[in-house]
Amino acid sequence: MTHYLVRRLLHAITILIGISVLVFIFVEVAPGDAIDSMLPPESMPTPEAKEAMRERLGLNDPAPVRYVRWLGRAVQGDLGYSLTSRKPVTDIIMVRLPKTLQLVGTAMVISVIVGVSTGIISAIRQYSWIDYLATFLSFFWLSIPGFFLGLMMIYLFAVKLGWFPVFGASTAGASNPILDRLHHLVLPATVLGLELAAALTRYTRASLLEVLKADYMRTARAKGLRERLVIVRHGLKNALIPIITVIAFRMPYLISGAVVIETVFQWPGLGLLTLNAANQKDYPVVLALALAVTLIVVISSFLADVAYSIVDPRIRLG
Amino acid sequence: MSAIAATSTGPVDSATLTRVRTRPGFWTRLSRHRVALISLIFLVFMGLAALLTPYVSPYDPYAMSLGDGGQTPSLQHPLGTDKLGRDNLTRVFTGGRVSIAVALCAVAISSSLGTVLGLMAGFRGGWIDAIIMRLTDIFMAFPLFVLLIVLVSILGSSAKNVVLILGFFSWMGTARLVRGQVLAVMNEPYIEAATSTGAKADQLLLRHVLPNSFVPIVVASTLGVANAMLSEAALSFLGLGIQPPTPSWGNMLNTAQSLQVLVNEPWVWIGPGAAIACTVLAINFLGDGLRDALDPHLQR
Repeated sequence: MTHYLVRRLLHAITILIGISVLVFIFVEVAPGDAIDSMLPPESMPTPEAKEAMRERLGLNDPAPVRYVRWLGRAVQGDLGYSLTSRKPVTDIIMVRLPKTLQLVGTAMVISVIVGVSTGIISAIRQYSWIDYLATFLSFFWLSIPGFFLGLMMIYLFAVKLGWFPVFGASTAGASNPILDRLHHLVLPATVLGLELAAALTRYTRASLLEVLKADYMRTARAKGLRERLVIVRHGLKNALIPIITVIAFRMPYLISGAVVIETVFQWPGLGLLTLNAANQKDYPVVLALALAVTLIVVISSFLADVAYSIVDPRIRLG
Repeated sequence: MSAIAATSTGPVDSATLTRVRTRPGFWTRLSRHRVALISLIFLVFMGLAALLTPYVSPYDPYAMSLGDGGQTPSLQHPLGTDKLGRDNLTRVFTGGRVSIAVALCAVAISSSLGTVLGLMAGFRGGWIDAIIMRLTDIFMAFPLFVLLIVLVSILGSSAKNVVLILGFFSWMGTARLVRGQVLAVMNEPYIEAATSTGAKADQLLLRHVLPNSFVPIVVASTLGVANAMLSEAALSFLGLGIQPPTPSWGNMLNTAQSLQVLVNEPWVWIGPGAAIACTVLAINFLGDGLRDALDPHLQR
């Protein structure tokens, strides 16, 4: 197991290095003077001071040298200053991060509950009307753009029916702040979760159908186990292990979706921040966000590997 | 496809030959997949409508007439008019031209790139394979949409840039698929046979490996068009993709971000939204049907 985890960790580190190189290249080609994003705005640098700074910081050094230095700073959490708000980029991101984690986390919980249970029912009742309906719906949720679904949800459930707030993450001065936040979370998290739920339905169905054909299922039935036990203890246990990987594999899609959904619902997270920064051409922020978001993906993917190795005895013992 | 499969299997394998002969043709099999057939018909209709709109529609998708702004759906304007008095239905189909063209061009790039890289990785193996696969992992870990936003904000948003960025950053799935296919094919006995009769590497690649990777490439490209369309739509919706006045299905929904349009003029955004949803759904169903209809290993 340690061997496996070390290998996965190395893999994750390779990917992180690769991505940092990619982001560094973007930093290099992004228009504007890098110096502007590095100096604290209070200092009001003159052109001569900038040039001296450039020399002192080694901005005239060859690219690999600058890359290592940039990476060293990035690892310590120094990603420069925003061009518009003039605050350190890391601070800006840290303020928004919890909001995005809330949204993505809730979406994930919703999608696992809905997706996996639908997939199980679909597989057990293969070729029944409920299976066809689930298959059609999963195609549907995978095909409908998140922003269109979001707009329709707002139109229907927030504007017409008035069940949920139209946008934002909280109401100022709400009597019960926790309930108020949850109330705001329902629509965006559902919209964001539906696509993952659809993907999970399809994977769970396929995975369980595969397992149901296995010999040990026949053995379990032959032993005289009740059908429910056969499916839960022998079927699901084996079928659900790969689902962990699928969830991790879909993380980039979930984050991509969050950018759009946060915009539609004006949810003050990293996604909305990314969009605003992109519109204002605030490159240090945009690039730092790209790095942060990919970090989330790589970390969750590694966590999935850890979870996998705990759940699957073939890896744990092998 | 069946003909290629038969020749590449070689004349010795008579079982395969009979199977190929008795298998119903591609069209028969596709038409049995009813949902895929309906999807295909819908897509043909959508494609024709998009192509012919400029010649058929009595309205100019660009000409503004403020006096006709914000009309509700009527016989003259089945989907009403937008704020600037342009006929919405005409704009939906004109937007379709743009959205479909962008997605097709992007996939043409990403599929070719993915195929070449996948073939190279699978066929060459060794360090070339290692490098290509690590690159694939790295690009796959990057949330495509965030990458799109970064690049569009650096390079500027235009239809050309959207095509190029989508094309050059969504080849990973195809590359993995083709590589897997190559590795599988290289283990087949007919490759050994071909090698023993003195086939050269490029012959192997073009006559045996590539044709056998054809099915997954077609299926992946079809689904790729759907994904490219969704990405372009989302990007344009956020105002970073295709820029107005050129309509695209995504940027037509951009105005719905204002609550006033969302609530009072639903026909403005439901039309293009439904157009994307239906088109992408149809492409996904078609891809699914193609997978069944084209797969030479799958017998009905």
